[in-house]
Amino acid sequence: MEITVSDFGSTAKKVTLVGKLDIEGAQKIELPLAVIAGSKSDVLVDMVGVDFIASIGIRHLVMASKSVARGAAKLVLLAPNPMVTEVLVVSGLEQILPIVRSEDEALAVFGRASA
Amino acid sequence: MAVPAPDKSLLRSEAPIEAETRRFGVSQSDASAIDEWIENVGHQWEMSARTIFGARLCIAELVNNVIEHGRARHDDDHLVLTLSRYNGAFGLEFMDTTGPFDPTGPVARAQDLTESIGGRGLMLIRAYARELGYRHDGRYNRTTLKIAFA
Repeated sequence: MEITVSDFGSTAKKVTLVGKLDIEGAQKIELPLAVIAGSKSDVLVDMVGVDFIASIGIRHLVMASKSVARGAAKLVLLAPNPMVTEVLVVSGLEQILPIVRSEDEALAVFGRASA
Repeated sequence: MAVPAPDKSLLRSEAPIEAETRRFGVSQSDASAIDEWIENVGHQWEMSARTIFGARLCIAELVNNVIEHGRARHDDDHLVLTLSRYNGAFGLEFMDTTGPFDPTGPVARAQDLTESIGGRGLMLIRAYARELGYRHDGRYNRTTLKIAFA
């Protein structure tokens, strides 16, 4: 699992994940994701490169989303592949981890402050 | 140490076309090795991408449960996994020597699932497994699953 963090729009952050969000992958993203989630910025998590996810990976995303929400910001997932999307849907997490299909859609969710 | 024979009584609907059994330790690196093995065998057996994904997911949840919940307590705790090829389906038998754990038992309430890793993992196993069985044979938890997607 690789994780990179960049600016997105004027105030948001983009976290790009590539690889497997299994037990090893989840451990690699835990700290950097928690740091970003505590920054009170909107967060776009680019899931395009994530080819596998298990509940332990979902847990870190949920914790990050809750942390972001406590800072009055939003976390959204960008374009997970169909099988990863299915796991998130089966888990009933569409409300906590909303999915967008483009960066423009993410900016719309975040509102003008991030544009 | 000899690898115990898979429990064919738990997947009783038909005989597998072929099967492979391997023994693993209880660690993160073992979890990765198991995942890679399932993926390779699934491709070799020409399983569909969703079937392979479902098999990897279910076994990842069972392995995570052993590792994350600290159920491995002895140096000789280990896992034995048998992959079976059925006509269009992946048969899995997951055996572990850690404390008794029945994945067919009650799942956490829905409102707990955003906090409960175990509850969400079990929910995913039940969503992806076409068949799910469990028994404890005195030494091993023996969880059996069948995964089949188009």
